[in-house]
Amino acid sequence: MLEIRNLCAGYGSIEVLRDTSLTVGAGELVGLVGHNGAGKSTTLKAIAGVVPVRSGTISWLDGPLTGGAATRIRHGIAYVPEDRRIFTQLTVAENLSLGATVRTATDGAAAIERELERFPVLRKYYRRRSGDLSGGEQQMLAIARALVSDPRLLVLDEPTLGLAPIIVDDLFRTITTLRDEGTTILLVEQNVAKTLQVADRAYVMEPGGRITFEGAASELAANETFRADYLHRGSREARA
Amino acid sequence: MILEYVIGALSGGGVYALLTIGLALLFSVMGLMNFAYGELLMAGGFAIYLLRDLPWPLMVLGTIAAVVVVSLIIERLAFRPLRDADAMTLLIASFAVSMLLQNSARMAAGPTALGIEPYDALQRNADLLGASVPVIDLVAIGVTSALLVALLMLLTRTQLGTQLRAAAEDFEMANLLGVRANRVIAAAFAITGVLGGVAALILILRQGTVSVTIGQMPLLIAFVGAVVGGMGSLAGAALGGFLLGAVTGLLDAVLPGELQPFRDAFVFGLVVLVLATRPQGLIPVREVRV
Repeated sequence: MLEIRNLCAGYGSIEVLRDTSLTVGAGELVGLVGHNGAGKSTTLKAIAGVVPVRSGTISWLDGPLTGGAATRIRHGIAYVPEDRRIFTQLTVAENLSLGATVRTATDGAAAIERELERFPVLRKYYRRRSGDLSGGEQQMLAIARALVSDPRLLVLDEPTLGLAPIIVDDLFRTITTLRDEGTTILLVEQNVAKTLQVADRAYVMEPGGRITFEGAASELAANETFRADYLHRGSREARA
Repeated sequence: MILEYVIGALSGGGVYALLTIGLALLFSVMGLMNFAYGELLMAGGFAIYLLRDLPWPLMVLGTIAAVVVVSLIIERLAFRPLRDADAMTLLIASFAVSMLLQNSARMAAGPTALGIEPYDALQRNADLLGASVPVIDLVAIGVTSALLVALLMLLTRTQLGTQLRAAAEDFEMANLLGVRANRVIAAAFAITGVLGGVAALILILRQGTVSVTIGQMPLLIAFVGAVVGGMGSLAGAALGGFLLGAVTGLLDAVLPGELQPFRDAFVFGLVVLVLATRPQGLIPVREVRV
């Protein structure tokens, strides 16, 4: 469904990704994990059209993915950036309506209603300025806004960053439900343990965008070297 | 007497509120501090001069349409090619556009001011609760109020308005959601054209003359008003422009003759005082809770 081949991308003179390749199949939930600075977010930004592709290709549904950021959502790719980037001066209702920009009024209204069913807290605060929501509520709004466009691929960058554990559990449940409903998801997450619990497949990315593991998430979760490097160290850091 | 001062202040303040909203809208949506905005007033002035023999409704509509067209042409030819440029490049480009338009107008119309015969109905005074107030001030208050309400409705009740406010807050994210950059920026320029056209009508019909430099002082006051109110916040810009225009109008009325030449010194002294106490402006963009 999505195929990245030998992707090179970066910012100014800094090349963050060098020859990065990965694929996401239809209906899959794919986790992309790795240490800070490996290039995970840059990969998602390249898919979203925010960071230009210097060389290599991004293919989508058997064709090259071209055009700027505004075209991605029309191709069925919705991107939820790391810092949520909800419109804090706008109400929850207005944020959701912007998610329906590429849809007809009727389809958009139905999709908004569907997402309000999924996230009841957004219905409660529907007319409230979204900047007044808590961090978890803002993240739900960011995901709901993306889902209103009815994407075929949902690209999530660190959705649980800075959230309370109970909210993190809620969000992972939502992500799993979305996958079960048939939405294809590419997920970048610092919470590696939970990501591997819900993902079908996973990639481990090292600096330079180098992919050092590719396979079933359960296989990666059982890999002792990986566990020592990511899971155990993560919990030691958490305890510290 | 007090009512006359209030009407004068409301009238002056309303016009500058229109101008500052125009400036703040473009600044918010595309990071452009448009110093060519004064030339929209100039274009409006020359449109009034050229259309002065038409019935007044046609003159008014023609002037607004002309300013909108000039604003859209500026966007298309000067700023669209610089869409991804940094703020400094846009600023310099806006000065270049300003100079180009001013000098083109100077070549076409000459360096001297052109007189516009006043409309009789606007030159009269009307009796309002016992006070004698200029009809043009009442018209200005009515028109600017109606326009501000219409703009508020557009920004808050329509999808285009929501897209404009979203683009003003985070242009890239709006783009990622499928909001078309060209459409939303052209809409912002069209709105500034309408605001500039109406402001030109009020300022120039009150003044009775038009020259190539007619837009410079209003632009300066509007720019300072936008900064005082809080650049990046449309409500703040409107308030800043309104207060600055109102204070200017009030000083015009109350300062004795020998102090009139120092009016702008008083106004900008007040600006310094406001910025020293509230450097973020009167109504800054509200902070984000995370």
